[in-house]
Amino acid sequence: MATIVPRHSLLAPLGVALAFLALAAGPALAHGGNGIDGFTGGFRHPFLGLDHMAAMVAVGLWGALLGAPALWALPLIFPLIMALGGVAGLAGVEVPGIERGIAGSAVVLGVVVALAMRAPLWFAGTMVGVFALFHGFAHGRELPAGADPAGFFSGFVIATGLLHLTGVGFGLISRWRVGDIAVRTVGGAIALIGAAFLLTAP
Amino acid sequence: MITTVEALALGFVNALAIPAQGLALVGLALVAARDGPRQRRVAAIFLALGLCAGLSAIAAGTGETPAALLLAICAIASGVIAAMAIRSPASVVYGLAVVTGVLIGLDSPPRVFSLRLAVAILVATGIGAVAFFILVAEVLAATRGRWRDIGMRIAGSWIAASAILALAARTLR
Repeated sequence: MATIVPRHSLLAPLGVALAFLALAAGPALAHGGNGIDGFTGGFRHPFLGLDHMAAMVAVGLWGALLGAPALWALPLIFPLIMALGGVAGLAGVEVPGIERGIAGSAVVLGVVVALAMRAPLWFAGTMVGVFALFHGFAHGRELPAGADPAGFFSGFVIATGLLHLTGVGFGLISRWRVGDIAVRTVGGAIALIGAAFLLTAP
Repeated sequence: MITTVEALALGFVNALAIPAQGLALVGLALVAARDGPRQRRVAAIFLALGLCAGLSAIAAGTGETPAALLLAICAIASGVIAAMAIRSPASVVYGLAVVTGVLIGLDSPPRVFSLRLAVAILVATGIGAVAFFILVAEVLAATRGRWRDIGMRIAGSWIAASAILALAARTLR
């Protein structure tokens, strides 16, 4: 039997995608500004650190394993708390062991995915929130001189969010047995990546 | 030197191409998309009125203003409202619309020397901002279902987070 797709089922992602594509558009030279450079620089940023990238995917994987509402609540909580960490980083607050915290987040999140650990939403949200502070703090300090802040950080946040959604998307295959094994294997790999960074972190 | 047509085109995409303005507009559209069609139309009118006021002020020679900072605050407010899925009273949405419009206008001083080109850019900036708001709000409002609501909440959190960081960068660095 053919699957009937609701007429509007593609409009929501289209609208959101349209909105964010607009943010990536080139600057209107008539008004000045360098939004495009900031945006692309910020968008690339999360992909430059393997430990950061792995931890972001793990957030999505864990959300998918926990199911609703964690499936969408974790990707919603993370950027907001990460922004607060970023504010501390921008303010020049010194926090020792940030790199270890980021690597440690990949280890912990990788392990919970590998073990398919269940947790109440408040616990998962708190844990992910604490890790988000580390990630935000580190990246808040990395705004390049001269970059448009709104462009850089919108690119950075969107890329981070897309990594979460990639994790959620991949994590949804865990409803099948083979998929569950694949997701948990990826979780194990993320934990190993985190451990490697943890051992070499300053 | 650019032509009038180029000036119109540049002005039309201006609000989308300057990230602080784009964030505020998308945030406003996310909030307005939860309202009925009449409220969305009124919000678009308030946005247009705000743009007229802000762009007129710029045309009248208003210099540097903290509009970019205030736009970030608007984006944070609308992003948080969208992320929390709060159904706001119409007056809040209209207030956000008019303030966002004024600030986008004030944040858009044209960088051209010709009066004709400056007017073309300013008019196109206003039309482009309203058109983009209507497009995003109507596309989102035309959709239904749980995934639409989740997508709008996640997008709201992205907007709020980006604006918080942008505001901090502008004030703390």
